Amino acid sequence: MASRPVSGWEGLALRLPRIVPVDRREWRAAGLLIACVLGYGLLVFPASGASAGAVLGVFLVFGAATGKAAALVLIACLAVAAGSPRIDAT
Amino acid sequence: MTALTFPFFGLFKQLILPARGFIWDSTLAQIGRALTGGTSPWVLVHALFGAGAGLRLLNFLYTIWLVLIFAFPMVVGAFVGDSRLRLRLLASWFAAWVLIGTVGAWCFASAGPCYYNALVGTDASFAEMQHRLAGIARAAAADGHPIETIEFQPFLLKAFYARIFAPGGGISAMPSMHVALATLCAIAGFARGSALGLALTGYAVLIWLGSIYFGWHYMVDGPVAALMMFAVWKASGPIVRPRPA
Repeated sequence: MASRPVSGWEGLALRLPRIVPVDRREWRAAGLLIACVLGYGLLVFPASGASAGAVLGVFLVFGAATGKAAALVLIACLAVAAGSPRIDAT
Repeated sequence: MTALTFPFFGLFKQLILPARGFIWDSTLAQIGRALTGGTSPWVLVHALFGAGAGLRLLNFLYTIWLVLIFAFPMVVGAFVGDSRLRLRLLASWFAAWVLIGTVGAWCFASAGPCYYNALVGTDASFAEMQHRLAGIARAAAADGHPIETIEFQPFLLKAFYARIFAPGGGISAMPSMHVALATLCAIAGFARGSALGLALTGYAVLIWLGSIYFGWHYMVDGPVAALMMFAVWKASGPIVRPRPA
């Protein structure tokens, strides 16, 4: 099959799956893991006696911090993808 | 995962764990002293690192721990290519919070040397340590280089007394989550290569020594946490093993 060289965003997009290959089984495992985290939360939240407002406030703080960290990781991911060997689209 | 686990763990550590009381502190302090020939382990670590560059190194490593652990699931999710290893690392990271940070902390409920005199009883050695740490923090702040790790300690005590649910709050010593998760980083490092694994093992050892230096933990909290982390890691192996077709 003939191939053509690609560059820019198209090339970046082609390289990304080499860094983060996610198949269907892994999505299921990730879902199970998140369910475990939520289950842990369901155990500790009623036992703690905390008000929903206080918990929401802390969630917002950690949510914002996680968002920033995720953005940095995404930038790092793109940088690695950009620096990885060039792929020819087929 | 991070955004959910941290607040849930905070609920346990700040609002549930205090009901257990700090019942293990005295025993843990005695074990530490017995292992170092009668001297409090913090005295040896202070002698080893001093109050200059060694202190700043420990403070820096201790401070960046939170960033490392916070970003751990994202970095693993993005950069670990092997899907089974990725799942195993993520499952171990979460299991550490539940089994070591929650179940372990409940079983070995303890406050730590820096809170011993405030929450447990009277201990002359830990009072001396607190006095010394306060002096170090004052001198460093006057120099324009505050030691955040020490300055954070009164905030936790204040939040504990007020029963405030705040980000990053809670008092618990044994087992050390700092060492447990630094150990997981080392395990992840060895999966990538021995050089990274050794570097991160060194990091975990320095976190352990830092935890003694700053009075967060007793000497045995770190090794016990590292062993528990290894146990979690080993137990996670069969879970992510592929099923026979």
